[in-house]
Order: sequence, then structure tokens, then C-alpha cells
Amino acid sequence: MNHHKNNPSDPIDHGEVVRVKKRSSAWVWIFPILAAASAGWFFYQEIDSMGPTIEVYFEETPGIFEGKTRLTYRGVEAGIIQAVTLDKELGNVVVKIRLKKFAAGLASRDTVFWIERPVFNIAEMTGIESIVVGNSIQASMPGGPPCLSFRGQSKPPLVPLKPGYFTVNIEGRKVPFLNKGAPVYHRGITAGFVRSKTLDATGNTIIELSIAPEFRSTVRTTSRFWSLPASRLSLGQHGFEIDIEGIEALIQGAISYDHFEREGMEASANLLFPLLPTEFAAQCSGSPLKVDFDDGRGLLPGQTTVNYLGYPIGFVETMQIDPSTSSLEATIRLDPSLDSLAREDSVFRIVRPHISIEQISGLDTLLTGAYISLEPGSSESLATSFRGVSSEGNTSEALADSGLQIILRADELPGLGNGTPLLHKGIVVGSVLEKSLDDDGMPILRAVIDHAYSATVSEQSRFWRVAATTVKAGPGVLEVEVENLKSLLHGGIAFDSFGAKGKTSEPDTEFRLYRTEAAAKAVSSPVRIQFKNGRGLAAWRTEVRYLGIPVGLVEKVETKNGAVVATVRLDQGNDDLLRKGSIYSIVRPNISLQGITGLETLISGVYIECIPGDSTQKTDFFVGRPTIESEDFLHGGLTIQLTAPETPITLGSPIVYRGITIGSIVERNLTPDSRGIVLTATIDRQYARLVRTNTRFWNSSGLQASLGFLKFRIDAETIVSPVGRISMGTPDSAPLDPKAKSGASYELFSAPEPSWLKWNPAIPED
Amino acid sequence: MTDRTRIAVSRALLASAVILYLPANAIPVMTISLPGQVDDLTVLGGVEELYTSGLVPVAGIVFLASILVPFLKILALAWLHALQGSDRQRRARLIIHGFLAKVGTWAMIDIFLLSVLTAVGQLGVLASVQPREGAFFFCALILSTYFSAEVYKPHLIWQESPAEAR
Repeated sequence: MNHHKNNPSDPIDHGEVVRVKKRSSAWVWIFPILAAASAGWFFYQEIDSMGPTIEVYFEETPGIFEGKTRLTYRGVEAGIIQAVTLDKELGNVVVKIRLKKFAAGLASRDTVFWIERPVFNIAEMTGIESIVVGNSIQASMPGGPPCLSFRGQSKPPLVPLKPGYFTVNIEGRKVPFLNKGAPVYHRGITAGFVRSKTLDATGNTIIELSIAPEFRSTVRTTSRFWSLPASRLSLGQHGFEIDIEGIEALIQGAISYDHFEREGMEASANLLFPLLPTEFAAQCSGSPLKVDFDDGRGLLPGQTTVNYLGYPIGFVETMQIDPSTSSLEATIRLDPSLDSLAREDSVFRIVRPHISIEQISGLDTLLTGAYISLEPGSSESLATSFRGVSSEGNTSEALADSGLQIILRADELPGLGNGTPLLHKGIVVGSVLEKSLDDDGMPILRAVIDHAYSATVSEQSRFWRVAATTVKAGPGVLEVEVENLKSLLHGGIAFDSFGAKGKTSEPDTEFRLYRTEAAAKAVSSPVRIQFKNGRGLAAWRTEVRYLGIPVGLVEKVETKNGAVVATVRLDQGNDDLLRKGSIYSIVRPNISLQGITGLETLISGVYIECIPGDSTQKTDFFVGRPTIESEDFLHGGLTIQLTAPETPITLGSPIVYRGITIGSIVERNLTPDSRGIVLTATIDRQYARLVRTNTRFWNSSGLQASLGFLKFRIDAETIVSPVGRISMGTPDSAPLDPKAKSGASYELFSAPEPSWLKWNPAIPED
Repeated sequence: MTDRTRIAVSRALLASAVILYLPANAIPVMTISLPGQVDDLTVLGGVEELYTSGLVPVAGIVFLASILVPFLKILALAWLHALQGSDRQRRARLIIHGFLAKVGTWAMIDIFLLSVLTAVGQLGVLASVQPREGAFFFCALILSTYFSAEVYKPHLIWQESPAEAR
């Protein structure tokens, strides 16, 4: 190198290799040292912050997880659950908790551990924070020598007694809606709180109250405690009343106390007071009175009041059944200032709502419930034991004497009972006394008619049930009928003699009780009508109608010899319908191309239409016809018979004359010798003159089309009457043949001769 | 930086990575508070959480990038340094080194996830995510392995053993 330096002529400077001083690279080890130091420091911190490990035994540990659940003391995380295991007998859960160093003091004997979990009910909401962070184990009240094993509580410990507070115990049969912490009021001021609620050995609820020291003097031996329900809704004659004591009480309920100006000794701590249901009950602190009642219906201990001059002055505290005297012993307390009313001859009477046909009394008790009315006597000496009056006297006995007694019989008597009113033309004239079975096991009702109205019952009277409500449906009518309010509750019995005169009834006359007014009205002797098919007939329901008006009722429907026999009773004054030759027919809904008939029966059910015959003889047995063109019969038309060997003509087919329907086929049968068919046709009365002895009838059914030169004509009528059609014609003879008589027989031709179509006689009106 | 320094730095960082591997995986990286539960999650716990909540692909990626890859990187770097100066396996070492450089950036995915979770998961009482000390150790582990691989240049693979002494 020196050689190069010393030779400047050398044009190329090759530089100089210099040995660089070897720099130490030891500084790089700062990285691992830093890493090790920080990790070590961190782990040291972790270990250093750990306190002792404790064990807590629990019955169950819902929501407690290893490594996640915290131990909390005064809201501070004081440890963490290390392990949750079961003990060897599987009887307990062992929770191992690693305390933090600062919380090592919790490992002392008196510490209470419990599991905090959310509790939701209307009275309390606790452990809200456990919803967010999960259930936790809580500790409180450390103290005592060090200890590492604990027994966990299932509930949070009681609120600790604060110094100066004193305890009052109150006892009640049951105390709903009061929980720890519920306020205790004295004249509206919070004076303390409910500390605990437990059962004593006798099963009574004992409530421990803590009263603040400044209210010490308000608790006296004469103090009375009552529970305030969360809110009270009272319904009285003056409307609704909602009573809410305070927002706290609204949620938790509360207890209130007062001594109502009756000065007593200042109560000593831990005195036991009874818990009364209401403030009113608390006020009534008079000496207990015993009253025996035969019938305690409607009496409620703690609620039923004792009224004097209509004003409540006391209440029924307890009620007890005395088996020896089979009576009910009520313990009553009055307002102490009115204890003087409990005289020897005072009367305690139970007042209940009473509704009868004579009177309505005690209606106020419908709202307030039964109460006991106190009627003070005049005696000077006081008593503590009374015999109460349970009822207003036996009303039905009184009633029974007051009128004419009758007996009503029926197959069944639903909805009728004692007190059911008897109505005559809408007036209550009597009532049912009792409902019983007679010797044959048939139900009977004994009823009484008031003397004033006894003349209304005659031997001809007919009784029927009045249903609470009647729904009548007819064509275009839907009628809901509610009889008066009482019959709405009970149903009722009505009676009438429908104009028939009869002797005034003797006492204990038996009457039949009909189901409906219609049944009662239908008084004729039974008429039997035979039908081929009884579809739709219902006993006691199907009506018999004449000219569309109900005149009777089907009483019984039975089958006999392969036919249906309906037994019908008709109303009075319909003897015409019993004439021989009267026609009965079931009207059912019928929808066909010819028309829609009987549509009203869709709603009202089928009915039997009838038309009186014109014979003078009477009968009680009829053969019903399957169909009836009632209007035709009503006009008293001509009945003729048409015979043919065979014909497609069916029932209901029209008979037309020059395109006008003058009658129809009402019956279709085989001839007596079974060689042909005989059709019975009725001709409307106004057209009867058209039918002469020489009249010809022919079948004009089928498509009648004539092809003209320019037009094509189809007789439309053939389309709408596919059942067939009969046409008729009468020859042109100078004097017309005589008119046909009812029952005349004609031959039915299958087709007209061409000449018949040209007949055009003049037939004058009669 | 001389080659020797590079090797020394790389080795020092490798050593700190080995030291940090335990706390990074043992100390919780985050605390998740959901209604009714508070969970401290380590990196592996986070993977488990993702897996049980049905995000299997994400769990797979996080597991690969956060646990397996750092571990393999430590192994691979140790192997490279062990063979430093030797003329064996040079081709394999080069491939491994290229792979280390590529995969290094992915290792931060867990930190990335954590920062996103912490930023998004602040729903008051309903849910919250808090980073924990473990995240620092994990971050340091990732940085150590990353720079350890970064400082180690591929030409060092071809360096003859005496060169180090020179």
C-alpha cells in the first residue's frame, strides 16, 4: 500500500484496503432481553396479585363458569373462579376461588358468599348487572379468623340491621305481595321497611319490620298494622275508585300502621302485632263479638262489614264452623267507640241481594257484597255473644200460602226452577215453588198463582215454556225476542186458554207443560198424516200451514208400515182442515227450471201445507201428497184424470191451452189394472170452463220447431219445461158440449191429429 | 449494515420471538363482554370462538396466520441460522426464505382483527371488546419474526463459513 502512495505516476488509484475495526454487535441482544424482562414482569404481576385460594360449597351454581365468573365484593372484582367441581358425594358444588391479593381479607370465617343472579318479578328487580356480566358470586361481611372453606348461601343475606332501628314483628294468616324492602308507612310517611318475611312454627307469616329510630314513639301498644295492597280498585255505587299509595307501594306493596289516637304505651321492641287486611279493619279494634249464623253465604272474613244505619262500623274478622251446634261463628269487631251498640238484644242480620216477584231488596249488596246489619236493642247490658239472623224468612213458604197451587208436568224441565215466573198475557201472576220428580219419575213443577190472578187459570189453560231468548227466522225476518229480564235469567212459564172458556181451576190441578207456544196452542185431537217420505219433519217444530199461516204443529213423527206418519195437532177453529179430502203435503225447497218454490223453508225448515177438502165428513187420517201446487188447489180447480198406455209426462207438468198454463199434473200413478198410466191433473178454476166432455188432451212435449220460408222458429216453452207438457183442444161444435165434471177421465194422446190444431171454439165466460 | 450485523440482529430477534411465543399465546389478547358473559380470549381462544360461532374459514385463516405460521417461522429461521455458512441445502433454504418473506405480512391478521373488533364492538352494555396485555406480546412476537426474516437477506445463504470470521 505504501508502494502505491509513493508512486504518483500510477494513474489508477486502486484504493486501499483498510482493516475496519471490528464493531461489536452485542447491542442486538437487547431485543431478547427486553422480551424476557417484559414477559417476566407481566407474569410476576399476575402471580403477585393473587391471594389465597378458597373453597365455597354451594347447593347449586347456575351460571358459574371456571375462569369466567368473578367473585365480587362491594362491586369490585375480588377474585376469579378457578374450578367448579362436585364433591365426592355429589351433594355439593365446590367452587375454588382464587382471591386477589387485596381481597385476601375475605378469607375469613364470617364472610358470606352467595350467587347473584337476576331476579325479576313485579316486586323486585335485583341483580340487573348479572344480566350484563353474567351470574357472579358475591361476598359480604368479612370478619373473624382466617378460613379457607365456606358454605355458600342460596339467597342474598338480609339487609343488615342499622344501628338505632328497632324491630317490630307482625303476624298474619297470609301476606301476599309484600317483599323484603317494602316500605312501612305511618300516616303516609315512610317510617321503616320490611326486613324479612318468614313462617313461624304454627304456619303464620311473620313479618319483621325495621322502624327508623325517629319513629320509635309512633309505635304504640295500641298500634294497628295493615297491609296496603299495591293498588286497590274498588267498585262502589259511586263508581270506580283507584287507590295507589305510592309508586314504591305500587310495585312492592306496603304496610301501614297507626294508633288512631288511642294512646297506649310505647311499644317495646319485638312485640308481635296482628296484620289486618285493610285500614278499615285496623280502625275497628273493638272487643271481639261472637255471632252465630245458620247460613254464612256471602260472608267474607276481613271484608264483610257490619253496618249500622247503613254506615259501616265494623267488620267480620274470622269465621269458624262450630260442628257441635252446626252453625257458623263469626267474630266481629266494631269501632271501639261504638262497642256500646253490642247490647244483649241487638240483632245481627245478614243482608243479601234478594229478588223475588214480590220485591227486590238488598240490591246495594250486589255491588258491595253481603253485609251484616246491626239493629241495636234497647237493653242496657252489653253482650259479646249473639245469635245472628241469616235470612229474610222463608219466602217460598210465604208464597205457597198466597195463592192457587197447580202442578205442571212435562217430559223434561230444563232451565226452570224455583222462582221461575208464571206469566199470563205478559203479566207475572205466580211463580214456581219447587221442581221435583213424581212417583213415576216424571218431573213435575209445583207452581203457585197469586190469589189476585187465580181466575186466569181455567181447566182449558195451556201452559208452555218461555225460553230466555227466542230466535225466529223466517223469510226475510230474523227476530230475536228477549222476554223480560227475569225470564232472561230463568226462562219462564206462560199460560193462556186461547179463548176457550172453562171452569176456574181447582187447587192442585195438573196441567201439561208444552214446549212452545205453538205447541200449546195446537189443541185439537191428533190428526195422523201419512207421508211416503218424512224428510225434514221434526216433532214440535214442523208447522202445519193453511194459506201460509201456521195453524198447527207436528207432535210426533214415526214410521209405520214403511211410511211416515206424522201426528199433528191443529189450533182451535181449524175444523175445516179435518174434512175428508183435505190435502196435506210437505213443502220443501224446490228449484227447477219451472221456478223456485218453497224457498222460505230453507230458513224455517219444511212445513206441511194443507188445503181443506169440501166434504162434510171428517176424519183424522190423511194420506199426504208428495207435491202440492197449492195455488191451483186453493182456487178449487177442476180435477180430471188422464190415462195413457205410456207417457213421459211427469209430475208438475203444465197443461196449456193456446200457450197459457191452465193447470198441472199433480199425481202420476198406474191404472188399477196396471196396464197404463193415470195422471191426475188439476185445472185452475177460472179455466175449468175450457174443459168439455169432448175435449182432447195430447202430449205436446218435445222440441217443437217449424221451419218456415224465411224463419226458423223453436217453441221456447218446450225448452223450459223438459218435464213435459200437455196441450188440449175442444172441437168446434155449435152448442158446446157440457163442462167437464171433477174426476172425469180422458185419454191422453201421444200426438195431436192435424185437424185438432185448427179447432178454435168460442167458449164464453160463465 | 454488514452481513454480520444482519445475522446478529436476525438471531437476536429470533431469540426474542422464542421468548415471546409463550406469553403471546398464554395471556388473553382481548376481553369480550356480551350480555350474561364476560370472556377473556387468548389467540387460540379467539380461534375457538370464531370456530364455534360458525366462521370456520376465518377461524382457519386466523389459526394459520396467528399460531401456526409464527411457530413455523421460528422453526424455519432457526433452521436457516443453524445452516448458516454451510453449503448444504442452499436451494431449499432459498425457497424457505422466499416463503418467509411472503407469509410475514399475513401474521398481523390477528392484530388487525382485534383492532377492528375493538373499534366496532363498542355497544355499551350489549357488547364490548377490550384489548388486553396479551395483544402487546403477540404484536411483539409477530414483529420479531417479521424483522428477523426481513433482516436476513438471501445472499447470506451463499456466504461461506470463513467469511463470517473474516
